[in-house]
Amino acid sequence: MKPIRFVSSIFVALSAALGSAHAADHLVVYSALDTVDAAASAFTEKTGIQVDLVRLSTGELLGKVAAEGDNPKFDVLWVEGSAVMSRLADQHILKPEPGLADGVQYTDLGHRLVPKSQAYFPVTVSTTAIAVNNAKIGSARPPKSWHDLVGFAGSVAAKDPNLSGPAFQWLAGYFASKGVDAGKQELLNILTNNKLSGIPSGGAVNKSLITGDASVAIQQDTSIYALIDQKEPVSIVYPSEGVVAIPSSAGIARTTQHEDNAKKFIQFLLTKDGEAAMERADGGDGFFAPLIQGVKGKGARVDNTSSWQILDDAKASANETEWKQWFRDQFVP
Amino acid sequence: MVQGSVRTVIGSAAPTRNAAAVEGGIGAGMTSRSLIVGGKGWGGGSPLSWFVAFVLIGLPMLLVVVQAVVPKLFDPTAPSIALSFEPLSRMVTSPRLLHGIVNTVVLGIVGAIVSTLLGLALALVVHLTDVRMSRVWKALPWVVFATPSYLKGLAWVLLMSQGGYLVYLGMLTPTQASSFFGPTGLLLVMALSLFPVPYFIVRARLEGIGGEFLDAARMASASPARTIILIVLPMIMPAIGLSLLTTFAEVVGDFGLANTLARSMSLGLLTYNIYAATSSFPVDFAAAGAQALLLGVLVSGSVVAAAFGGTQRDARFLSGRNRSLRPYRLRYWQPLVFAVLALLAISAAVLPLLAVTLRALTTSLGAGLSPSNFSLSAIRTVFDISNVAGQALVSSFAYAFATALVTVAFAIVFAYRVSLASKRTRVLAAGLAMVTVAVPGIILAFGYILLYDRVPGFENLGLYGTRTLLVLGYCAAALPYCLIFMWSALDRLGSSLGEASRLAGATPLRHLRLIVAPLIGRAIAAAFGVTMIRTVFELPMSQFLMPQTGPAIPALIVDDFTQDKDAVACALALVALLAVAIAWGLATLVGRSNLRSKGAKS
Repeated sequence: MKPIRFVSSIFVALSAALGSAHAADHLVVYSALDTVDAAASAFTEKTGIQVDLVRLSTGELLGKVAAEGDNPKFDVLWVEGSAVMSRLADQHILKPEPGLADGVQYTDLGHRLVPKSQAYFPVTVSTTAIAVNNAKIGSARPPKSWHDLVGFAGSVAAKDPNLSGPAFQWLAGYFASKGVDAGKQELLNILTNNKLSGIPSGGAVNKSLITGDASVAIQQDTSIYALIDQKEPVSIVYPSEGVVAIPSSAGIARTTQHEDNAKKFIQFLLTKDGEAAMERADGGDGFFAPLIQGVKGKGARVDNTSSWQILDDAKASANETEWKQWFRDQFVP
Repeated sequence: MVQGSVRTVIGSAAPTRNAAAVEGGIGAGMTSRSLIVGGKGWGGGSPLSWFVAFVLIGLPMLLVVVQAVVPKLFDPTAPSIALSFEPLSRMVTSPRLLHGIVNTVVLGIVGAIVSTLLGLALALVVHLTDVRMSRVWKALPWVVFATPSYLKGLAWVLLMSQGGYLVYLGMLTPTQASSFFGPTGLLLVMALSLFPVPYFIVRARLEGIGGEFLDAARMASASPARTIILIVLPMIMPAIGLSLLTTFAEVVGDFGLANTLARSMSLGLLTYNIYAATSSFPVDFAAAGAQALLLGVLVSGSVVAAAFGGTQRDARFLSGRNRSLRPYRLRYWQPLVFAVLALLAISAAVLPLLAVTLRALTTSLGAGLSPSNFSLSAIRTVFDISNVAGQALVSSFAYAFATALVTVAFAIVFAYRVSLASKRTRVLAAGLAMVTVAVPGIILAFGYILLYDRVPGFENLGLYGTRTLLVLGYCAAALPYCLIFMWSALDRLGSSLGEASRLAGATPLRHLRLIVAPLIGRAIAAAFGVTMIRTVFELPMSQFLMPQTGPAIPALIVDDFTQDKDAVACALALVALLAVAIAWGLATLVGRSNLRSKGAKS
């Protein structure tokens, strides 16, 4: 075979392979959660509906969603942080689906987390707590509250709310409970080491806590339970001031061509089968607090969700740009 | 004459984007029009190729950069074309952004000097002396080059953290480890990561020096040190200048180390700030565009300096009468030089790869290297073909092959047409290629989203979310340095070849197919291999143009890192690196056996 013919036949074969890759009837789900693979597989097994996943970290995924703007290419978006979803609903990127969750057996917290717009629906919930590396703090008294973290100033790791939906949810909840000015001042006294504040991802926060300079971390509780499950010398403290719920929520794109299948997918996520599939996931997100009655949390999780506060999404969304900018200017090098 | 040309092509086909850029692109642009012979069809105009390159690279990048002055262009609720210079002025008024710019420039300058010194020293030792195991030292820059910078950054974090492997093994105290995370540590890692760039440039020049120069010095009883200082260094001075400039461009455009090590050191850099602007919500495309514009200006500055600063002097020393180069004997210096090179190999390649390997084979980060912590579960996950990791591995190699095939084919034709064009056109093309490779890939990736999902006409093509668009994005990212490789090779061909073809009545394309392509065959092969390697590890395109059918390897590796699944991420990276090494080894073997069979036939 002549080289040129060989090259062209390879090119034609590759083009055919690449071109046939995009199936128009598949449901496209964008998600930042590592539970999505298991949930999607279980959904396909049950319904026969094929799901194509696009999984990135929250910051990158929302960057992609922002670039797609008013022409979103997902059918279902499933991320953590209700403030983000609220903004997307306000921008009419998400479509309200009244009645979608009418038959869902939500827990009390689940019912409270469903927004009035019904443009997105809480699937699981977590919160932000304090992760303590017991080996590093030694005989020191562990913190009991956010305020106690002042005593650990310089060795407190925290995520950058600009790059993490859950971290912004924490910041907004922090300001809601402390007051904006008082909250800012307290954070200035806690996050005094810029090497540890404003870290880009939860994974990097954990590295700082386990092998780096941090002895405590402001971290999502799912991630802390995952560390405990891996036998790392870590314990979890829910601060006495209270914590704010971080729902992972799923919404449907206004432009979707697969509305029925998208609704079926979200409804599946809100069943015991769906939540059980999510708990089989390998990563930290599988340690969520269930929002469906009769489902028990995985690992060492304690059931204290009844005391969790609900964020005022509208207020958080309205102040999002300013608060994120403040955090970036103070704590991100 | 032809043999001499071919040999030079091989030498200059360095596996680095900017190295080859300056060797071939800028240098060629400012020296001679090697292929221009006049006549119908032999001009350099190729509007179709320029149009394709513009659509592939220029237009997507422009869509992001233009938002530096039209910040509401793609606003989802109220788009507007109103001009605003606020994003540009913010770079000066925001202390954080300003620090990022200053840090980047300072690090670029110092990093360029340190890396160039290291690369220069290695090239001189390996190519001018009889140092033992020279094959190993020649392979070292390739190994370092093939390892993506985000993996190197992570490896150094694993090694040097307070609870990292070196502390665990008792080689460092926690305090010593912590002190590594400062400017000195970052510079050290930069130098260890980027020395292949100056090494490849200097090596290409050294291979062009005939043995007669050194023989003359020997006959005049000049010592090796005196010969190097008075003869070799002046002859390779243009390459040293080019190394400094290209390494500067590499440092300021690097994202992998900026996102890992520099961040751990509380050192804000321009590329990280661009990433942060595009990965926060709401996305600040205006800030990203303004900073990308500034990065482009910084790199174009180095390109202009390269073009007009004397580094472009014609330094072709090859003629038909070149003697082979006789290396200097190191004698009693041999053990010391060997030890220094071994230290370099350990620091630049062995330790980072070992850290990645150890993490892939252990379960918990905190338990370090205790025997009970070792497990093969992460490796098993990668080889599970039903798992997304196994599928990503197979897909990535298919994407890389398709990308290399398409990009190299286009680059051959386009570079050839540009090489026939005027000097101004060639300098412009080389400059644009350099700027493109230095601006972070994330800008190009976002440009692709905007172009294929938001711009009427392109949006209707239905490419968004498909594998085809991912491969197109990979092609766009790879095209600049493929072009540069081709220019590098084309520059070494004498003008007599083109004249002979033209006089024989051949068309330029026939001349390209029958004369030029065979002569630059090894450069084409090198471009193909390097494009494949880079594509397998190309991060921004893999993340932002992720096909709906599943991720490519880099997106999965980084996603696993951010989701705290380090072991699987490291296992995946390790397997990908091994697969690249095996593919490269097989290709080399096939190439050698082809050469042998051709030699036997002739």
